[in-house]
Amino acid sequence: MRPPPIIMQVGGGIVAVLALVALLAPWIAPYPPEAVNAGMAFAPPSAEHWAGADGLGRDILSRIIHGARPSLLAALGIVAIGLGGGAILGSLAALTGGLFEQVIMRLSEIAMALPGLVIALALTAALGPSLVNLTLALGALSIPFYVRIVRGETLTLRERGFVKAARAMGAGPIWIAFRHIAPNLAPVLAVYATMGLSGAVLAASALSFVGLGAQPPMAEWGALIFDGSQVLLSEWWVAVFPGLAVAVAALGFNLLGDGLRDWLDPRSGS
Amino acid sequence: MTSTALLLEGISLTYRGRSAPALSNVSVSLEAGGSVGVVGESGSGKSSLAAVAIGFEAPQAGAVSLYGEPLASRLGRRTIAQRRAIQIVFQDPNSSLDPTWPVWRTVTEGVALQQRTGDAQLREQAELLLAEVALPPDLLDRRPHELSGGQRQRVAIARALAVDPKVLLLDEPTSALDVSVQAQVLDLLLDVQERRGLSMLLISHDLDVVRHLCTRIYVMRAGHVVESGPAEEIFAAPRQAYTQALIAAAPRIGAG
Amino acid sequence: MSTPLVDVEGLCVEFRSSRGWMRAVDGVSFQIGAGEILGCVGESGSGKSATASALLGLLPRRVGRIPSGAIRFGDRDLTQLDETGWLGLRGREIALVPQDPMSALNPTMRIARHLRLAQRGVDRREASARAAQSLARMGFDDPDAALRAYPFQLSGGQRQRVLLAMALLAHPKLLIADEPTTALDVTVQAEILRLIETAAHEDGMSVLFITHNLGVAWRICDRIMVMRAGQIVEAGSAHQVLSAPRADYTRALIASVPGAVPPRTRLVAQGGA
Repeated sequence: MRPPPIIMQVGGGIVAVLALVALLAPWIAPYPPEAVNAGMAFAPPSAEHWAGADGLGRDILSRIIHGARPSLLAALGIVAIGLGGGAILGSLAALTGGLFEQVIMRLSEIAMALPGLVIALALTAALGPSLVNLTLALGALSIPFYVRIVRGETLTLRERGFVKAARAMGAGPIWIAFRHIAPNLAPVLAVYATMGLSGAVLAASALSFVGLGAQPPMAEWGALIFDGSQVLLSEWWVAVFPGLAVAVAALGFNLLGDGLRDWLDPRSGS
Repeated sequence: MTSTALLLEGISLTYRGRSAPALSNVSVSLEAGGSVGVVGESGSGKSSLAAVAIGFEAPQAGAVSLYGEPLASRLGRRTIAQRRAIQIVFQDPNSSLDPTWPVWRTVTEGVALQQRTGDAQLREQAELLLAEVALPPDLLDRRPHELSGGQRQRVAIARALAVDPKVLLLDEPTSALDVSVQAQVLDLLLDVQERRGLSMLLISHDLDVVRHLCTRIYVMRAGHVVESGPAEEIFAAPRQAYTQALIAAAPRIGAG
Repeated sequence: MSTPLVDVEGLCVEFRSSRGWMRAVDGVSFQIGAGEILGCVGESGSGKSATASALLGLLPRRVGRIPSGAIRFGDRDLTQLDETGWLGLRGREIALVPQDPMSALNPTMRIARHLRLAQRGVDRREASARAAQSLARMGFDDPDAALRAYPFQLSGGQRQRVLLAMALLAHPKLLIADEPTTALDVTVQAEILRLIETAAHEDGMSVLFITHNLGVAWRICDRIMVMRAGQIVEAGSAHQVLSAPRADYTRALIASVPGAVPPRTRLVAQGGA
């Protein structure tokens, strides 16, 4: 295999570091995330508190480190739901055709015409604000996006010579779906999923920012930004550092996905 | 009297959403062990004919039979034995092999479909099949993008041979290849036919290739067969103006 | 030949790969006279397309380079030309008819606009009139309908004829035809070849005709050079090269064309071509 492109190495590096941070949060965070210290309220960044402290004197860096876990898990959950649902419905639509395909595709189009974030907002509010409900709502709303990709790719693959040759040799739809379509679909979906993670991190933070996701005192990036937004002009560090974490995560997934696309493209060198 | 391997009778096919028929009342017969060529330009319906024979497209009228046994028009309604009796090699060697599969899996797909077979056994069979199409065994673990165009086309031929077909459909099998590679593949097809007693239906726009491989020729235009007969006769004395124009237009060294 | 239009001397072209710079064209010399059709025959990897790219200044930047050699065109050396110089030359004095007609046309522009843009410095009404004339010459039954069409509404043969019309409207001194008929039906191919031949032999346009099809080369070329692995293995009049080839490689190439041997006999001599 060729060496992965630079942007993929950079993106992969960022994502790997974030994943490690999320996994090892309790061991690497300098303070417990919920340790209140009234004396340190709104302490600016210093050697003791690299990213400063919030209004309750909690260490912001520690809260960001602990916030990585819920934020990234929510993003993963959103993409897993979207991709899983999309792969099943999209491939079924393409392989069965007929009325089922029509219904699925029209529903997808309707769903995609709606403003996703607003609907997710309403949905989460109705289900009750929590990180799990937020993940379910955003995941369900991303299904149509993946349905369209999977169906389109499946239809193209179905016309390729190797699928036709397999049919001529007696292969049934199950063989074709799992032996030919799925392996060829996987790299394409990996790219879209990685890109999707970037959007999911942003969307999850956005909903948490408006109070529909993680509930206090849980440290989650969107919720942390909300805390800081009240005092943005005076104590900027409370909002800016969690904001940076979101931006870096989104950038990392984006670079990784971009590089992955180049890397997996069989046409680009060998 | 020689028996007929593949018979297409009175085939008419109009694709959904099109007004002009792709095939109108086309009949083609392929004798056992024979090689028949179907020539025509783009839009003549020659590739549709192969699609009907193999069951990818169901015609509105007409019948397909194999050694006198009528075949269902849809692939899904044919028995496994009937399906495996007719195999096809496509023009584009890029899309005819699964890019995620190594060569040994590709050529033994038909074997694996038939019965659960261990990988070691499949690899052994793959080696034999590669030998039959004159490819070395060190290609077994390559993927399609690591093969040349000619090698890919040989792999596609080996895959078809794996299920021991009676009829081989060749849809422009050498159009994407360099002349020297084309020559090798044409030689291979003649060898394979002789060794296995296959019947071949060659679809091509290249009159020289058809003339080289086929003893009987059908000339198609706009969904109709305009002329058919023994290859020598058609090339020596084409009766139809269209056939004459087609032969005259083909550039040939020493002509003109 | 007194002063050839194109005089290529010791041309080398290299492309960057993971193993460093790889030579695609290795010291090629040839000349094309005014009104002459020079065939460049070879298989994939022979360097024929790289030669054409060099003559058009279309080697991919950073990945392709000309380490040595000269391409004299009139009194200029094209290897020394910068991009501004090429812009004044390409599509005016040197035109290209590419192999793939679909990707060479802008899908959002009607044919009329393509043909108008091909004639720089001609006023709009004049350009439109010439566009219609040129399509009629290219054998379009209804040129006005074709002018109104978008590329996707035309067949492959029609698109190729539009590209040839675009190239010829600029009245280039040199036409580079890169496998212009490979994707076409034989009857359409015959028509395109006739049109190129007329432009060369009647209007004095020089042509570098790149093809892998020996029959086509025989049909249209005055002279032929046979390329293999970046070098010219044989050059001469079309008649000499194809009917009395001197190089073993040319002989093997000719022998591998079906039609040269009786039907259903081996094309590749035992021992390999």
